[in-house]
Amino acid sequence: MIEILSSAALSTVQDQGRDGYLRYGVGTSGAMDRIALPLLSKFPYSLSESVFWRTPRLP
Amino acid sequence: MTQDKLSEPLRISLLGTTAILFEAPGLLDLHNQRRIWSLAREAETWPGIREAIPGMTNLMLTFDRPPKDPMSLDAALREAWNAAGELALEGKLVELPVSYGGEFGPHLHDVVAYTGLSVDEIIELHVAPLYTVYALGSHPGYCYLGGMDPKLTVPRRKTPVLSLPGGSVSIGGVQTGVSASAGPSGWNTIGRTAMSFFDHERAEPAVLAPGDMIRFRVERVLA
Repeated sequence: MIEILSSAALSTVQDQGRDGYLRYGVGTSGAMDRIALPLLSKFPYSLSESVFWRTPRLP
Repeated sequence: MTQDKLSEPLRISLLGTTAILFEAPGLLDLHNQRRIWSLAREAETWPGIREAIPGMTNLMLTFDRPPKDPMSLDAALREAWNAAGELALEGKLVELPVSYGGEFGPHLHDVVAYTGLSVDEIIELHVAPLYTVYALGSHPGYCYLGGMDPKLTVPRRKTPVLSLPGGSVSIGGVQTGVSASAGPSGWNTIGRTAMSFFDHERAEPAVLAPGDMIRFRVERVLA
């Protein structure tokens, strides 16, 4: 369970997505770059090996 | 305005590095769709294939990992398609009472304007067929249906509606369908029904599957 206390614009929480449910209309979702995702978890603000908190830099 | 083409050539294309799409040649009809179901059942047994997902006379294969030579599947798909017979899945029949028009069908009058048919004629044509679930996709539990009367063909809207409630009954091109949850849509909404299409608690989360059938029934017609 994750409680979001506050959030900047366009912040997303990305996990590995879910495979095997496309036949039910459920998109895979998750991080677009699945190879980079576990590497990003080494950086600050990551929640675990498989979940990454992304806050984009606004232009 | 774009119109669904009735007959398509065979096409095979890569979707990034994680999937390949097979588009069947010919018509968007039940004969072709039954061969897609058959091809899906065959292809999901191939090594390295994670999931075989039937679409509307197309089939997407996802890979366990990006294959070294994905186009080697090209020949396999063509061969399996040529060999594929019609898999006649016949599932359950669901009857859906629909409230047509009014606040439930904000685009019914656009369908009147485009087709030249009256509201009564449109509803009569819409409830007449026994629709077959061809495939699931778009959003959880959503069913792509085959069997709509071609007289009800209406192009998708030029500007999509940002949010329509779940249960919206709509027409897009040569197809009709019922949205399984709230969301944006470019289709023309003509009515609404109450049906839960998806329950994530179930082992089989989608209530309907390819081969199941839907019949619409007129619950009421609003001006």
